[in-house]
Order: sequence, then structure tokens, then C-alpha cells
Amino acid sequence: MPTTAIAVEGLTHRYGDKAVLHDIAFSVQWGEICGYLGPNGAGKSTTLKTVVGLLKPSEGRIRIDGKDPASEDLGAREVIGYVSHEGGLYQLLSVREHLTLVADLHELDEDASKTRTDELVALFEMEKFIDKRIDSLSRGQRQRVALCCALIHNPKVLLLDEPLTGLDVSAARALRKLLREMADDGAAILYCSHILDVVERVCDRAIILADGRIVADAPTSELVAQAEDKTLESVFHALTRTDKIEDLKGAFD
Amino acid sequence: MLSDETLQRLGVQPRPFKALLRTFVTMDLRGQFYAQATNAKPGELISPLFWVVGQLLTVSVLLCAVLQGRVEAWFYATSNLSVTALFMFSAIVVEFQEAAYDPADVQVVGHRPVTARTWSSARILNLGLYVALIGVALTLFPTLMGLGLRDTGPSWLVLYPWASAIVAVGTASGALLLYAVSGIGAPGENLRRVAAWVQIVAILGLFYGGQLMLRNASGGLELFAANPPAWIHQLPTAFLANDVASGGWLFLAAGTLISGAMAYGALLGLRRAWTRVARVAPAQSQVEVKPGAADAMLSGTASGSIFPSRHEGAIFWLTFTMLSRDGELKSRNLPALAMAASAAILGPLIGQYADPMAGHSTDAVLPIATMVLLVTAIPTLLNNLSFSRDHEAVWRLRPRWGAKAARAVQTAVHARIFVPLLLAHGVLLFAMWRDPIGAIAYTVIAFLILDLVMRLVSRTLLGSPILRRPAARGATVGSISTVAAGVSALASVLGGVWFYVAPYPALLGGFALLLFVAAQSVRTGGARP
Repeated sequence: MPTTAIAVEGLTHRYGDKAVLHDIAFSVQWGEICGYLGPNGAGKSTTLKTVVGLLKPSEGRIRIDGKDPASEDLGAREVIGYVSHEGGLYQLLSVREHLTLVADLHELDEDASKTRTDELVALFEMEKFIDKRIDSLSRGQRQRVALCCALIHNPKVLLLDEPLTGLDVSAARALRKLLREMADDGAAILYCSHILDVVERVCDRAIILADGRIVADAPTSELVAQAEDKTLESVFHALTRTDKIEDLKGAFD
Repeated sequence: MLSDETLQRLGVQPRPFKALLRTFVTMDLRGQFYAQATNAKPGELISPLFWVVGQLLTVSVLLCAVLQGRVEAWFYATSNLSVTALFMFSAIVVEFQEAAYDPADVQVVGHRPVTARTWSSARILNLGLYVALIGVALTLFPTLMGLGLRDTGPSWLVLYPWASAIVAVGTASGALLLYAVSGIGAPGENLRRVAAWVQIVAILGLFYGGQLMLRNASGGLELFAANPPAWIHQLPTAFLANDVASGGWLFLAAGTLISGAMAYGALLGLRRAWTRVARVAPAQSQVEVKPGAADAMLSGTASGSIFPSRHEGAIFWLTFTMLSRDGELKSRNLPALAMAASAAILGPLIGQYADPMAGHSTDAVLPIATMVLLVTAIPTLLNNLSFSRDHEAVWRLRPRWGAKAARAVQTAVHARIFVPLLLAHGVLLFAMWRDPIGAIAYTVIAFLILDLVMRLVSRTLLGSPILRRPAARGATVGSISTVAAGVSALASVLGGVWFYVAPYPALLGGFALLLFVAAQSVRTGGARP
């Protein structure tokens, strides 16, 4: 097994002439939960989409478990679990049908996938709407379904784009607990969020992105320690509000 | 039918393929479009037979009934095969997004361990089922009713479906090849518009044949069918009809080879195009929008002078924006306007676009027919609004819905579609007739008829208003078929009255006044939800 779960080197992505990611480089190790933060429009979701292979990077190299996620070799995609902020669900299917579809797409053993489905359904308290059509669910219920679809195959690499969106307190707690357990079992998790106190509690390390560039990449505890009021929020604010991002680049290395 | 071994030999992952196909078919059957149209309870599987297939069956039955007993087998086959080609092309153009490419696929499947070949194979088979369903709907009645023609025998039961299958596969493949060549995703929208215009040209051809029948005062349909113009003999469907009518097989065999080759080409082309989009989400660059006329009109205090409230101004603006910016909505609307456009283009070309005010003449029928055809588009145009991508924004409008709000929707449809069309048409009439008063009178009366029918349709369609419906994209507003039939009948009656009163200024003025009063007396549907 490669020592690095997610390796991103020299990633640049352009929409037309406009570059939204500039020479991004970072890695996530096995067993690590890495926060990926940034203000709106900083390029967080674009990074995640390129990492899972949904967007072809303009430049750069990406490896998941040592393999290229955009290639037709399915190795990388077998280990990926991904929750996009768009949801990524077929709205006309019921929850059960969608989970069955995902299990089939991953060619999971039927008994094992049933057991795993039951576990996740219980964890996220989805029993009441398991047979409801997804387009009839609330935002939070859909988010639970999206999380189950990302987790059903026990992914070794998990990429989450705003996973707490719409979740109530108990579901959010269950997710945080599950993420820690998965990381303890060796999974690598890239966690993209705006909720900084959760990142502070959950993530071992945080990468802060501003205007398509990485302005900080350090263990969460170190980032917090250097802040005036010892919160990640003040670090985030200091790094992302300024016009002189270039000056701050590397300040926390 | 497709064993795991066969699929593996084809490079397709069996279990994901079957799961995807099952999902796609389930979603096709479960489309809200059909569920809403049939008032089905959520979760029920609704057959698309009621809507797309039902409509095609109706068209097919009507055509067969018109031709039955009046024409020979060759003309009957040519007509039905041509209609099959036209509607197959139309169905692929209009429904392609729903039937063959769902942008959600990339989000759901793109990062899963599924090969692009597996996904595209499931999509292709799903599309094949869709084409087959439409093909059967367009073939069933011509085959059965054709047996009753004077000059058909038992071989008809084999030869006509064979020819129809060739036409259906060939036309669908041709349309899909266009998509495959131009790429799928964002560029496909532009192609859809092009394809919709191709459809208009095709309708022009049919319209030309139809108006020849009207013009032929001495013989009618029978004479026309017995002595069709030379160009009809050059249609591919006419060659196939030769074999169907005579019991031959040469053209059918050649057609099979050609449509087979086209299907193979479409298959390869689609697979290549789908392979590109299977993995990579279409680039969503930010689109800058320059404020248009509606934005300027609704800015600041201007909206207050046009609409009684900013709320209604917002409804107008939303509807106007949907109609202006949503390429998919535009391509859905174009076919509805195709017949009227065809008449307005063809009439002047064949010298049958005379001023109805100048006197009763068969040459003055077509300008009024143009307006009748434009009026018949109203139910479709209103219903199509729910297919807009922006339709989900309508929840904001629901709490304060009222009759005036429904009127704002109609005003937007007038402003974006009918008024520009009427003005362009008015310029055309002026250029032809050299009579400004005639052109203005025509345009005013046309507008009054459109407005009256729009209000009446709103009473039925917007009685459960399109923008007040739950924000489900594609949710139709009720039995549009019934409304469309009613509108066609009403438009024909109004057109007939217009034709007869047109040469008499006093009667024409009275007719215009009557239309105006009638329109004002119609209460626009808009009861509060």
C-alpha cells in the first residue's frame, strides 16, 4: 500500500481562461483527517471534483492510493467515497433503491452490503424514510442518504464536501464519531467545510485555501496555537480576508 | 437476453450494467411528467404510454382515419412513414435530455468503479427502448388499418412494419448522430435548437403537401394522392412505400442496410461522446449576464408603473428570463411554433398570402391559418414553463399568488414570444401587401385573439397555475391534451369568423371589439393556493 492516500501535485484548474486553482500541492496520509477550508469561491469543491476524477485538471498530477482516479483503471475509484455538495442522488429513486444501486455499482457482496446498509440506516436514523422517494425528502434527510451512499462500501479514502449541510445534531454527532473511527481504522479523509469549530475538533490537520491558492497547511493544533484568541476561526479570518495573500503564504509552514 | 458472459465479452461490467439499466428504466417510468399528467399517486409506476406514446398513437389514428378508403396503399404508406420520421425526430430532439443523458449521472456514477463503456451501454440500451416504444406507437395503427385498404394483402402485415422500423431506426440514428458529432452536454443545447429548426423545415415540406391539397379545388385529397407532386416521389419514405405497396423488397433491403449502418454509426458516436462526459462534469464556468430589456424595465420605480406591485413584476421578470435564457426551454418551445412559422414562410413563397381584408379568396386563407396555428401553441408554451431550470425558484412566488400574478405570466409570454413574432410578421405583411392599415389591423386582431385564448387557457391550465405548482421540474399542469384540443377548435372558429368578416371594415371592427371585451371579461385563473 502506498504511504500516501491522497497525493496532489501542481494542480491547476481553469474554467475557460480563468484559473480557479493555482499550483495546488498537498497530501493526506492513511489514518489522517485533513480539513480543507476556504471562503466561498476559493476552489474547495473544484479541488475535490478533480481529486475524485470528475473534473480533468488543466495541469498537475493526482493519485489516490497510488492510482490515477481519472483513468479507466478502476483501482482508485474502488476505494473512494465521495459526498458532493450537489448531493449526487437520483431524485426519482427511493432511498432503498439508491443504496441497492450503489451496492451494485461497487459489486458488493449482497449479504455484506445488506449488513452495512442496516448499520448505516440505523446510525443515521433513516428507517422511517428508507422507502420514500428521494425527491420527497428534506434537505437533511437527503444529506444522510448521500452520506450512506458514500460510506456503504467502506471506502479507504473519503472526500466530503460540506457533509454536515442540513444534518441535525444527532446525525452530525454520529458522523463525527464515525469519521474518527474510520480514521483510527486507517482511512484517509479530506473534509471540506465552513464549520470551523467542527474542523477544529475533528481534523488532525487543516489546509486553508484562498483565491485558489493554499495559504496554510499545518496540524490544526499548531494553527490554533498561533492564533490570538486560540481559535481556527481567527486564523481563517486573518488568512482569507486580506488582499495580500501572497505575503502570508507559508506563514504557518 | 444479455448473459453475464456476453456482457463481459463486450467489455461491460454485468452487475453495474444491469443495475444502471434497471435504474434508468425505473426513472423513465417514474418521471413526474407522467405521474402529474395522470394524477398518479407518488411511487406508482406510470407508463409513458399515456403521454408521449398516447399522443403519437392519437396522431397516427387521425392520419390513418383521414387517409383510409381515400388513397392507394403507396400514398398511405408514404404519408405514415413520413409522419413516423417527423415525430421520431421530434421526440429525440425534444426528449433527448430526459431519455438519454441525465446530468446527474456524472455526480452519481462518475466517481464509482464503473467503466464508461458500462455506463454508456446502459444509456444506449435505455435509449433503444425509448426509440422502440415510440416506433411501435407510430407503427401499430398504420399497420392494422392499412390492411383495410383496397390494394393491400397479407404481405402488408410484414412489409409495412419492416419499412416503419427502417424509418424509425434511421431517423433516430440520424438525430443521435447529430448529437454525437456535436458533443453532449452544454453544446448539445445549441444543437437542439438547430435540430428544432430542422424540424421546422421538415414541417414546411409536409405543410406544402397539405396546402396543395387545400388549393386543389377540383379534386381534393383523392386527386392529390393519385397525382402527387414529383418531389414526394423523391422522399426516402416514398421509395420504401413502393416496396410496401408492390410487395417488393429491394428498397427495403437497401433501407435496412442504410439504417443499420446509421444505427451503428450513432452507437459508436454516442459511445465516444458519452465516454467523454461519463467521467468529466461539463465545465461550469461562471456566466456573466448583461441586464436585458426586462431587467431595465423592472428596475427602480419603472416596475411600479407597469405592474401594480413589485411581486407581479418579479413574476413577469422570472417568466421572461426563463423564456430568454433557458436554451432547453427554447428548444422545447420551437417545435410548438414550427407550424405557424412554416405557414408564414411558405405562404409568401407560393403566393398564397393575400390580404383577407381585400376580399374572400383562397389565397387569403393562409395568413389567417398562420394565426390559428400560432394560437394552438399557447397550451404547450405555458406548459413548457415548468420544464425550465428556473422553475424550482417559483416556490418564492407561491405564497402571494393571485389573479394578477397569473396575468404577469401571460404578459411575459406575450412580451417574449408573441409580440416580437407579431411585429416581425406585421413587417412581412406590410412588405407584401403595401397596405399599412391592413397590416396593422391584421396584427391587432391577431394579438386580440392570442390574448383572449391565453386568458381562457389560463382559466383551465393556470387555474392550477403553472408557476404555483410544486416546484417539480417537468410537472405538467393537468390534462394538456384536452386543453390543446379545445384551443384548436376555438382557434379554428375564431379564424373562420375573422376570414368572413375581414373584407367588411364595420364587421371587422365589431369583431375586434368583441374579442377585446371577451378577453377583459375572462377572469384569469389565480385563486390563492
